[in-house]
Amino acid sequence: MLLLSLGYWLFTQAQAAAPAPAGSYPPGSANYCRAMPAFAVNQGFSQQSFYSTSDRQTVGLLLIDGSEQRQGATYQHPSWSMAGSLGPIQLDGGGNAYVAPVPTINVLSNIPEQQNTIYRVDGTTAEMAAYATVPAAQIPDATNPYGVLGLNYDCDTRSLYATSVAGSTRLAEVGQIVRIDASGATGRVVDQLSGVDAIGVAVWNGPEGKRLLYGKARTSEIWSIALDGRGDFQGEAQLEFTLAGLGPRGDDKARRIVIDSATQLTVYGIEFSYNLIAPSEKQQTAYTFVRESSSTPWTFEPPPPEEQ
Amino acid sequence: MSHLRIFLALAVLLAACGANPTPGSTPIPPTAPGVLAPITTPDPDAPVLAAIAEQNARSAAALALPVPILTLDDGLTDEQQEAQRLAVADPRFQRDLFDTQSGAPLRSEIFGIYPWRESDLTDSTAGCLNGPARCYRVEMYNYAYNAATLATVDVVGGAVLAVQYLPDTQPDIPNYLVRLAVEIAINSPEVIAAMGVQPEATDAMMPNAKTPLTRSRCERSQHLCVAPTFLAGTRGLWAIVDLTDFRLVGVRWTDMGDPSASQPVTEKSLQDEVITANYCDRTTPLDQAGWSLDYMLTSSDGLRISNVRFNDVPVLDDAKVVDWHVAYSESDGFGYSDAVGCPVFSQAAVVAARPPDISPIVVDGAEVGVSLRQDFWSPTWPAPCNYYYEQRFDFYSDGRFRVMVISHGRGCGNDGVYRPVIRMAWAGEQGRFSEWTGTTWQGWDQEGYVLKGFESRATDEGFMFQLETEHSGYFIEPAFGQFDDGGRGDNPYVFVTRAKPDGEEGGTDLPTIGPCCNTDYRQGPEKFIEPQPENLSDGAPLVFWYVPQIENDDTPGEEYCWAQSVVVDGVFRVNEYPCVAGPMFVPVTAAP
Repeated sequence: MLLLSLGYWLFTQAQAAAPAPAGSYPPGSANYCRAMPAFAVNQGFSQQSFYSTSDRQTVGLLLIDGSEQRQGATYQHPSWSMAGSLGPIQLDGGGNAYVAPVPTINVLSNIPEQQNTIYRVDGTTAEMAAYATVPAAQIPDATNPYGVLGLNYDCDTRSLYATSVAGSTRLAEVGQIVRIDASGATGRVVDQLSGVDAIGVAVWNGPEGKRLLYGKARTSEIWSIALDGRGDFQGEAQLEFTLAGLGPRGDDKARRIVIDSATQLTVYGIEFSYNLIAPSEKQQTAYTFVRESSSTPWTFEPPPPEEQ
Repeated sequence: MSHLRIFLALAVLLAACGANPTPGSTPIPPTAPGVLAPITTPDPDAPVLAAIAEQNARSAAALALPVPILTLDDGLTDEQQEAQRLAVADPRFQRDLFDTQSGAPLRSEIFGIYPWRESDLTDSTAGCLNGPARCYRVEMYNYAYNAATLATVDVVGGAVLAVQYLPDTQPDIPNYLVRLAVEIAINSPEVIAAMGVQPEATDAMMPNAKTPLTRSRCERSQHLCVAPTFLAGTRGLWAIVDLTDFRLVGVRWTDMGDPSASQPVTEKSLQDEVITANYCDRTTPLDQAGWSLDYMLTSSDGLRISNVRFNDVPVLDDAKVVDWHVAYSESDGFGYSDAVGCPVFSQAAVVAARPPDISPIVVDGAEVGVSLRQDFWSPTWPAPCNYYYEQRFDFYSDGRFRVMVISHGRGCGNDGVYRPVIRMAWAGEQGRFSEWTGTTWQGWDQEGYVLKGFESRATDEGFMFQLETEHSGYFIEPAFGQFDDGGRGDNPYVFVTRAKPDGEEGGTDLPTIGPCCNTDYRQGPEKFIEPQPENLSDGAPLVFWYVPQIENDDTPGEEYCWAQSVVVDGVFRVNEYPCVAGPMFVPVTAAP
């Protein structure tokens, strides 16, 4: 019996450590299961509703109905402002939302020690509560007000990936990318990639299995690393492509990566210099990249010129 | 796991380098910063490069044309000339030749006329593919909008087949601008200093390239910029040249064998690097006009001066601007609380993009002191909701000094009130603070605050407060429009607190301490007073806080804390209407 158990344990460990099997997941984005929260449906919000963390008059999270019938309808649960200004938002298959604090313009409502806390908005009760904390590699100082900057939920492995630059300084890159087991009521950091400052992050299901794409915070490069069957990091990271020289600024960092299909993704680039500049008109540019197959590199697809 | 191997390898590498690695950290190797060229107001009597004068004359002549486009003249075939003629005459190609507000002509220039390529194929240009059409691509650059307009022209059919508009795009520049960029570079003092000798135009050359230029950008100014590059051994000197203003932006050496050298040196990267290395990472001493002090840029408290002495007598431990609060009265609770400071790795929302400036104070032709100033910009100022703040310290050789805060607008509306928070820690024990009551000086025996509105009482000289320490005594003269600088008065809140040891209560870099939109005394310093003000009567060192309240104005002719884009010589410039605030400090011994 003992031998049998040991054999089973070894088998499951080997399975988990193996790359996510090719073709076993729908190709493209691994965040396909996003579900509307039940509390919003119960309040009459339409399927065109969305969460926002960028409303200038509202601190925290806001639910906005984008339908023609209820355009402008908004809702904010009292708990949604408890963490101050927020940044990335991810939804899971149960209608729960994951958010993280990101200071905007100033740090008045964002407590420095809490910038590495990820919060979950319960899809049933709408209550927002701390869900997981990414341990900072170094105590943050006044030169870097940021912590978690990017989130992505993988519906296949029920993993939440978070990027954090907490504790990084100009001369030491101590950020990390972590995998959080998001299958339970509280999250647990189960794997990490250290020494990497990144912002945007996305899981891409490709022909060879899963890869985590992430945009670096110090350069305009987008890198990737393979994920195993559990969703843990595997092997060496590799450079995929760069935004350097593209767009109006030429040195954009990837704030968000959206997988459009199995062969196309859109990177939303912004200026990022580890400060709190926030021009009124969001200086964000969308960059589309395509590739023909998993063996060919991603190539930039320039937007068609505006014809007169 | 492989990460462990990477970590171990890194740890060994770092240990070998004598570094002190943090586990899981990637060290960033320090690099030598470049040099920024000073931005000065052109001296009309100073000699201008002949090539610049010639190009300015050509641009001015083009701006006077009914269709203000500077066309290409030299080396064109008949077909290229015809393509250019057809493009310039096409109304679609003329879309952005004039400013929509003022009707002023904008600087537009044909940069190239090239045979059409199959890669340019669209539905509109399908006729170019298999004849009989013979097509050219005409590329025009608009300096004002930093945009390109492209026309596909069939010279056989005599028609413009397509016109495309590309924002934030700079076409390849023509050869005469390449030569002009190199000419500007080799005549710049910064290039000559870096090379040790004035280079020849032929010294500018990229390896394995037909051009002497390297790719660069001017992201902040949105100007047309290129970088003539001069090789010296394995190193290359990038000289960023602004072809909108015909000036050198700065220079920087790169190791041509270094893969990171593939990252272009740009206006912003050079500015950030120079400012960070020279002013955020270290203090700089200043010793002029009897004053000595250190200054440096902070993460969120602007330019901080410290160890301030006059004729070797201590005056201030330090002084800085903690926050800029701006509230818009027509929108309840709407506004911003901005910190100012270093351009990268900081808590600043409005950042330094130029180094501090030191200049003499000249009155009636005589030097009477020295001025230290620092500017902070939002990226797209003067676009709405972007800001340009200035901090200035004027030190006079008679012992007076003035701490100034200046807003150059533009902000989000014409109903804005700026409330910058100045903090000054006085040097020395035996601090005494008193206020003029109209008849006598009344000492403060505990921490507190007061609003000094326009009706407040002052001595005949305009003094409202007196601050003394074991070293010195100063009268404090808030601004009420008497300084002949356009200022309309500060209407300030004044706070006095006890200085605390170990950098408490603002001695070290303070994060934003107050919200945008409080209209009363609650601007942040009260946090160090309430709920129980501390005793001041025991001669403790004092901290003086000063929060002017400045209302902006966009009324034509009355603009204040405002900025407006205008067209000058075909490009957008800024008309600035700064509002100056801040008190004068007059030595008790020097007062009349």
